[in-house]
Amino acid sequence: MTVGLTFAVVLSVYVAVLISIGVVGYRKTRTAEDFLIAGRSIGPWVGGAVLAATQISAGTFVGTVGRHYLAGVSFVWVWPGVWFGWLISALFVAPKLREFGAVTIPDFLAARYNSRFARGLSAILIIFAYTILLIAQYQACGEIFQAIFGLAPGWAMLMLASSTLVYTMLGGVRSSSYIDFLQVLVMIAGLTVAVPLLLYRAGGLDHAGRVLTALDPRLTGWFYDWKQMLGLALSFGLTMAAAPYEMVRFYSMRSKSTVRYAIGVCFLFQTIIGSCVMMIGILMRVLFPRLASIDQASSVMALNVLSPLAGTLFIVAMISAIMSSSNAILLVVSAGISHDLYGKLINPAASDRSLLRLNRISIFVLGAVPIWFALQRFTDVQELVVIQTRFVASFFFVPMVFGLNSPFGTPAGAIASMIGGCAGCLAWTAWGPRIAPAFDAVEIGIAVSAMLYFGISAATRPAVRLEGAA
Amino acid sequence: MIRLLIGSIVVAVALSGAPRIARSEIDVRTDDGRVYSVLMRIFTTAEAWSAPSHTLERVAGARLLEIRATLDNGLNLEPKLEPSGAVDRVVFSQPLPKNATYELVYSIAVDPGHTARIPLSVPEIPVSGGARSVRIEVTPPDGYLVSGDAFPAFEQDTAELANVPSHIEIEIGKRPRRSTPALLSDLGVVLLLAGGTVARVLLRRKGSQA
Repeated sequence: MTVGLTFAVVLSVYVAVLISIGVVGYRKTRTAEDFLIAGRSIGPWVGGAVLAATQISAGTFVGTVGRHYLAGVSFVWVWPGVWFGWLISALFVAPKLREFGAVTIPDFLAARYNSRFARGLSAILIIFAYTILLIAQYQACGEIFQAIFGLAPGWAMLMLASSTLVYTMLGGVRSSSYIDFLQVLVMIAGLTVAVPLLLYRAGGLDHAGRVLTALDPRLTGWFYDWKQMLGLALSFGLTMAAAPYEMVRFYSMRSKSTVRYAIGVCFLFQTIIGSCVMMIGILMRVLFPRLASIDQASSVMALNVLSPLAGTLFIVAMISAIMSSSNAILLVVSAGISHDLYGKLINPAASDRSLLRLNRISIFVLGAVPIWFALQRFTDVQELVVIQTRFVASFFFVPMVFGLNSPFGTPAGAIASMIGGCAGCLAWTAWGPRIAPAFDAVEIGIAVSAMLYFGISAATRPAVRLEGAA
Repeated sequence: MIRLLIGSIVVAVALSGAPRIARSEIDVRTDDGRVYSVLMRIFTTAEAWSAPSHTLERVAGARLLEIRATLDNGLNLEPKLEPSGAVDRVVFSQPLPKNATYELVYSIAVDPGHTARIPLSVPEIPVSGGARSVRIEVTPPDGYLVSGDAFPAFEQDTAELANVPSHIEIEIGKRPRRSTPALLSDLGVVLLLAGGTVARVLLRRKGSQA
């Protein structure tokens, strides 16, 4: 049996399972809050899997594997940045956010800074930044299907969008949480089966290490200098600490302690996945020293190195990663439109039923539009993910982390820090490397954001801190 | 974003001027399962290749016996081996014109064993990207076939890929062998899925009893 046929059978069964979980979730979803936060019923293991699945995306399975293929072992130093972000989240963000008890991140910002403008601004940034991330997911999906089956990327993107849209529109956060749990298990199974076979094909770790060093000594040493690595690690870590599509999932968990436990579980899942991804990237360089595109490393492995069943499992794992992230993105972006922009700013008297309907319509529209952008293929998948993480970190990190932990910030300070952080990041992305290449755009964005937050907050009167949800 | 767009355009322009492998046909033959002759026929794209070179992995138990390379007009490319740790660089004496077709021929002696690992000479420029740009054909001795385990995956002694692998790994026998590492990995997948399902059922029962 070939990979193509095995894959078609397995993927059909898998999508059928996902849609049935979506249908079960649909039956249990009565209100918009049910849809957006699953009645705050998610436990630590499912919650941990949700956090891991949300973060492990096309960027990981296609982009990070590709970066390890290109840059070798040292790219693994991005992970401590991610874990540092989780640590900040576990200590200073997640439990407090859960205790706050809102529905979306703009909810928190609006209540904390007593500002409707902060709500609208953050909702718009979420819609913009996460649409970029969705483009990366679609692009990766197109890349995979084209490399494996020679299918036109547009069709692959359409298939991904339609299956993800169905279960996201039906069941909201409740279904997607259980689906994420299943998807993380599939990802871990796919990766752990792939690594030993790849190692065997590459002639063992020792031989692989010697070949890598012979191909390019930087593959087993340092490819990027420490400043570049620090910039990358910071952009991932700081985004992780204050990423709206991750943070919104804290709201769906049972309690503060569930949130902390879930972050530990997520850490465990990510360690396994991160190690396997690194091994796959570097071993693929040994087996195929000159790939046509670094983004092909995962799909070439599934097709040409693994057995049909293991290859199928790996491809399904990749698709799972893409689906789980697309699903999380769609949920956070649709909440930005229906809950924050429409429900809180445009029509506060909107009924729960109409909000639920708008949520589903937004998911449909926002799921379809990025296909066109993904087909233009502006840059590689990992670059898109990095761009998005820089903007999110520059915008949210300071007002979220300091807003949760200190009464110092004022509405004017928070708004200035969000706009200034984003503008600083944008300006540095465009012109910074020519001025001072040692600094990454995220470092500049967060520095500008922090300066404005503290400077303008000090110059304006303190905001009244609100207790409880918006 | 502007920088990104400009960067993409610069990369695209740069790539459009760089040579690539348009197609590669690789023929691996053996008469005794000990000595393998490899013939690589390589077609480049419409750009000249100023410093053509390949990478040849050094594989334990495999020895390079001879190597030669010629352009389609008969010009001897005089390949020279430059040892570089666990790989050898094969450097040609002449630059290649645009749309070049050249042949690289070498033979490898391998130690007897279950599987033979034969290094392939990988051009140091990427393939242009077609899904089946690289075709590898293995011709075993009369009465034999590629049995059991193989890398990359072969169908009736032929593999079609998008890129040139660093080596092929084949086992030659009179009939197909079933018990292979690939089969073991498939069994691993089945066990993993079965184990997961059983664990889920047991946990559910435990939960309902509690």
